[in-house]
Amino acid sequence: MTNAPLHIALTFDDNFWAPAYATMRGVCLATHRRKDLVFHLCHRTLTAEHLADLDKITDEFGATLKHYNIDDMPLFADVASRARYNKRLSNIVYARLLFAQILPKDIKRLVYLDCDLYVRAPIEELAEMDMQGFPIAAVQEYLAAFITGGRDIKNFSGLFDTADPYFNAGVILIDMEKWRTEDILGHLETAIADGTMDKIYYDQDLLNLIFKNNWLKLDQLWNTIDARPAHQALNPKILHYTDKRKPWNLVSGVAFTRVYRHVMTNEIFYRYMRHRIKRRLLKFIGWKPAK
Amino acid sequence: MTAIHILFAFDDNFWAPAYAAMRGICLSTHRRKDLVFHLCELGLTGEHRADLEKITTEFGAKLVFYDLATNRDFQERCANLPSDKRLNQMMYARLLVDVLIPKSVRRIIYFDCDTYVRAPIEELAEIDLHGFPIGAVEEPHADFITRQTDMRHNMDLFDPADPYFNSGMLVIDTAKWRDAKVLDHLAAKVADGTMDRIYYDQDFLNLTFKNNWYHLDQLWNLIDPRAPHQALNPKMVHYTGKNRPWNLVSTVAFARVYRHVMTNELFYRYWRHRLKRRVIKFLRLNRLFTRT
Repeated sequence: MTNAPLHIALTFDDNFWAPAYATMRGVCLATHRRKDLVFHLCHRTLTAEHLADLDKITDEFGATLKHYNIDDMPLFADVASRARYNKRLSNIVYARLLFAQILPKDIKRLVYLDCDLYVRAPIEELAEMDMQGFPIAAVQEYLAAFITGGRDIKNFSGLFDTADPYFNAGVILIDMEKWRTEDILGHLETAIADGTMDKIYYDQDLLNLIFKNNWLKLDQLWNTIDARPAHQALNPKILHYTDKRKPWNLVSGVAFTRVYRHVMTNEIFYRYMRHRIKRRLLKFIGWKPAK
Repeated sequence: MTAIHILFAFDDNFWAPAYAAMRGICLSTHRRKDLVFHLCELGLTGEHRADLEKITTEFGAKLVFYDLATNRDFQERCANLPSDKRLNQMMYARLLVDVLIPKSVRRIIYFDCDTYVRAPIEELAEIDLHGFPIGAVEEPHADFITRQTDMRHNMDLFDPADPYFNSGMLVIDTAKWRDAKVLDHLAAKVADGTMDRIYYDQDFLNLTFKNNWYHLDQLWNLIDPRAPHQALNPKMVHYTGKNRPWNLVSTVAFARVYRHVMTNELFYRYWRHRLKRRVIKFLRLNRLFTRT
């Protein structure tokens, strides 16, 4: 076993602590190099209870966790306030555009993972693969024509050609040196200033504009989008629960539903369920948390 | 042409799926006359044996029967091994392949009876195993089979980072299998209580051949096949779910064509056979119930 660290980044807010935990635990279970794992957690302020849950990853597997509270970063607040708000995922989606600013400068390779993933293969297979000189590697998004073309695929923004390959940004292998030279923040500032950000699908579209035809295509099994039971037989390396049906719902019908509960651990699975019910009830009665 | 050796192990109640599995193999290769099916059976009736022999009539393939109940080599080796629901002679047949099959057989391909082969079998017969004793396909459900609750069960036996194979299809190098001393290993695992903690022989084989097996393409053992898998043109499908292709109504992949591979006459006869068994079982239960 080599001792080179395996850097992995996740971005999430307090309401996603449990899926983040499950994503990390899946990574840990599937590799022998548990002690080489360094999880860079870019998150908003977390409750003490949820922080303690995440720390269990270190207790159980010896992996390292590094926390970056983006609520303490004026840069993030500034960017997030000006970019278009993502109703479903909140402004946390923009955190990954700031990796060059947030994360240590000595990281050479970084694996970015969404929090709605179940990783089943040794992550070093991905982290240490030959990137053939490309700045990033990702999996092609099957819904690209609709995401970029919109209704009737009439190319509503005029920014994308549907014939160009387009990647899903849920799993990205990043050569950090090349990423830094791309000046992602500069691209974002320009896109906000000229109105591009109002026309596109958040950060995924922006990354596709920046890295257009300049990314390495990974095998689809590294990011099995909209994972359903029929995919199980293919022994996918990473499942991506992009659909509205999520594996943390009590009944979901997605791939590996039952195993996912055990990866999240039953205690957190059911606590997360109560957490969501409570939030929904509070929202229903119109209660707003104190800032 | 050299012979292609194939192994099945089944009891009388599985004669029809065994027939369908063999017929699938025959239909998918030009080398029908090179096929040698080694059939380890328990309690096979004359009628069912005659069904199986149709494989020879139709395709010219050779059948070699091993009656486990009367096979002296087999019974001697099994004498000291436990026999219960978890560990039984049907399971030992596969483990004792090197004892049962003639030494001249250098490679044999084992299949469960709930499989349907759709590609030329010579691809497996001739595949380079790169010096490994067996070739197999990774089991997608290994996480749950071995780790169970909160993925914390049996961590001392199975590290989830180690690949785990499905044992429903094995390409076996018989000499290397013999070298692995499978039976001694089994006796040791029975003695130290490991066998009480694990999932039958599949877990056992994974312990025996841990990190010592060659990975075959998933399409050579497609687990729990469903209709969308048909488009992938799988080489072999493995009906592991409760949903079986020999059920009257089944939503598995290739359900309809499977009936024709089994042939309609046998398909419906097998259905009556199962129905009859269930009725008999039910009546016995009934009698038991009235006695108390």
